[in-house]
Amino acid sequence: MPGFFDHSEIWLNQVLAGLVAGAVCGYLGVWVVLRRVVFVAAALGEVAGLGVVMAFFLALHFVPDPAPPAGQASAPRATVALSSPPAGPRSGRAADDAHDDARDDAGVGEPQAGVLSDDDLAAFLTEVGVEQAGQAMGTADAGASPEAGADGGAAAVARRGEVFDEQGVRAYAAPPTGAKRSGGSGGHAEPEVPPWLQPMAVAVVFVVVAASLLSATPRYRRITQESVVGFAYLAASGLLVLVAARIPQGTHEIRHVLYGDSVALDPGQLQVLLGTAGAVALLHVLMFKEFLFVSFDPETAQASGIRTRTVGLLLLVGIGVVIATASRAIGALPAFAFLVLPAVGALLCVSSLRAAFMLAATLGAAASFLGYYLAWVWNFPAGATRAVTAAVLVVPALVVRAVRGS
Amino acid sequence: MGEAEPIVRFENATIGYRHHPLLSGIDLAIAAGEFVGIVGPNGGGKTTLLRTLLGLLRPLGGVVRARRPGGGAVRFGYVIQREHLDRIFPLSAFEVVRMGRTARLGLLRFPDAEDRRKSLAAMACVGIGELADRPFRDLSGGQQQRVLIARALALEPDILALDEPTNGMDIAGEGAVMDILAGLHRQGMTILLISHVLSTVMNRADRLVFIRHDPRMFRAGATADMVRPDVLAELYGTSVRVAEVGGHRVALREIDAVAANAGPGGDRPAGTE
Repeated sequence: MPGFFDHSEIWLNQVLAGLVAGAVCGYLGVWVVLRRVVFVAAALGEVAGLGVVMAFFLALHFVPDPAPPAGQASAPRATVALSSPPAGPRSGRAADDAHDDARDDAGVGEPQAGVLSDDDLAAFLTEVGVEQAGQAMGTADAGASPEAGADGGAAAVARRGEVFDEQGVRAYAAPPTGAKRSGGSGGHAEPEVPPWLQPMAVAVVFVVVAASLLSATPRYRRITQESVVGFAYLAASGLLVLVAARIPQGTHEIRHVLYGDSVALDPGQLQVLLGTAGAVALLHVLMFKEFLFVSFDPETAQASGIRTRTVGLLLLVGIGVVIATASRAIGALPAFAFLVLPAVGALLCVSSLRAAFMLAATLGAAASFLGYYLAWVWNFPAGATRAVTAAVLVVPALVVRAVRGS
Repeated sequence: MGEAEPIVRFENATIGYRHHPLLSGIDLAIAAGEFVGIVGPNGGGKTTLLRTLLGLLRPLGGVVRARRPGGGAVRFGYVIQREHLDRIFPLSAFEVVRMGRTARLGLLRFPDAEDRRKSLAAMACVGIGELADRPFRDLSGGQQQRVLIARALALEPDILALDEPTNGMDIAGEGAVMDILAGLHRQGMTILLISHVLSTVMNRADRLVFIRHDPRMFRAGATADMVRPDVLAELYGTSVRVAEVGGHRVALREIDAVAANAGPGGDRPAGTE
């Protein structure tokens, strides 16, 4: 594809994150499918998303505003960031609409939470070698500016709407300070968001708590365990929308987290993902035999002296933490897709556990890269394209197994 | 009960699930090297008794102890009902057997050549050495049962505890499994075997435990003392007698026993089976 490999500075981090997330989620997906906790993984994905929006919400309400520099009038706040929350319950669609309205009120050129101003964005794109970026990105509708920089990466960005939308690049270019309450170039001081309120940190805490609760849920005689997981899933989904309705400036970030439409990725998030993947890989190397025994036959494992509840919790927390970090890096939709589909394909194709792990990890990484590349080629949202690509890779295995009747 | 110091002891124990006691006042002692059969109708509390002994359930009252005579916790080689295992796991027979080494190894240690050797030896012991590389889920019920017994043996247990190991097997498969258990018993292994089929157990076990939840019954004793018609009638709630066929005892509901005496074709051991 012309232009794709010429602009690796834009997609390199995102593609690397996708490869890592695809491989790790593919591997973990084998556990998810074999343990029959696909629905649990889906619930944890929703909980991770809830953690992200809660981080924005808490930062908005509990991080004190910094005093403006002496002799300087208080800089005007971004309208979106400080606007009063809408009253009454709002649907997800309403939240999006509210966000769009707010954007219109504020003007796209207005600095917004967590992203760069037009000037900073133009400077960034120029810095990475994308000519005429400022013009391309400074328009209200990036997709409507194909004439801006036809040969440059920014023009490609502008043409690609969802895939390379304006805010995606803004988010990429923004310094990795997590949730912020105001724009970054107004000359006024930025509120410092403490580490414990970073979206990733809050998401991880939420996921760990949810995994602990789900693994400790008592067995009810009148309902299935699946119903309890469904309760967690629906509660997290509903809360996510409700909290998001109170932080309109976060809806764009939320969309990226949920659907994985981000074009690029902040290096800090890539590092967090790499660190998480490394830690989880180490955990699995050290405890593989316990994970396998507890997953295959928990009762016998417990009878032989293994702490099955602790081991099961560790496995689930590891999966949850990867979901949280992968969702933040590449989006919840592709992360969940990689957590299920490659494992399904691998388990259909091979008859050994070791081969299933290797094939699932390979399929996950391949689907991630191929999906991102196809999104560039066909001008599609990256997250959805990655998910569909992972699904397409499974279809041959499904067909073959259906024909063979095994 | 043998004269040796018991390695398992129930003292006035109450078993059951949270807020749902099944049986109380249970007193039972099992010595090393014994072959004990636990028999009773379906839903009678056999598995609950075993799960309490294994530490999977806490006794609701009383004391349950499992200590070696010289000290230290008893190691149980548990053979679960194979129907409870999930067959979607793509594991070889050897990989399943090697799981038995997990508890021996402990945390942060990897299986080595010694673990491999002991796992293969356990497979050879139950006559499935040639199945090591076969997918577990593709094996027959009898072969899977042997794999699970081998896994329990790989743990080098003090007690082998089996829950309905011959369920769903044909006569040949059941006989093969029971022969394996008899062989292990002769080598000194302590065996606890749960079955709802009296005939399966009473030809091998030194002692029998009869357990029934409703109406409540818990009785333990030497096999010869337990297979009396009056005791069996109390256990099953119907007239039962034990007949000897080809040197093996079989339990027959009285009506079947009558039919068996009347002529061929009437010796089906029903009711108690």
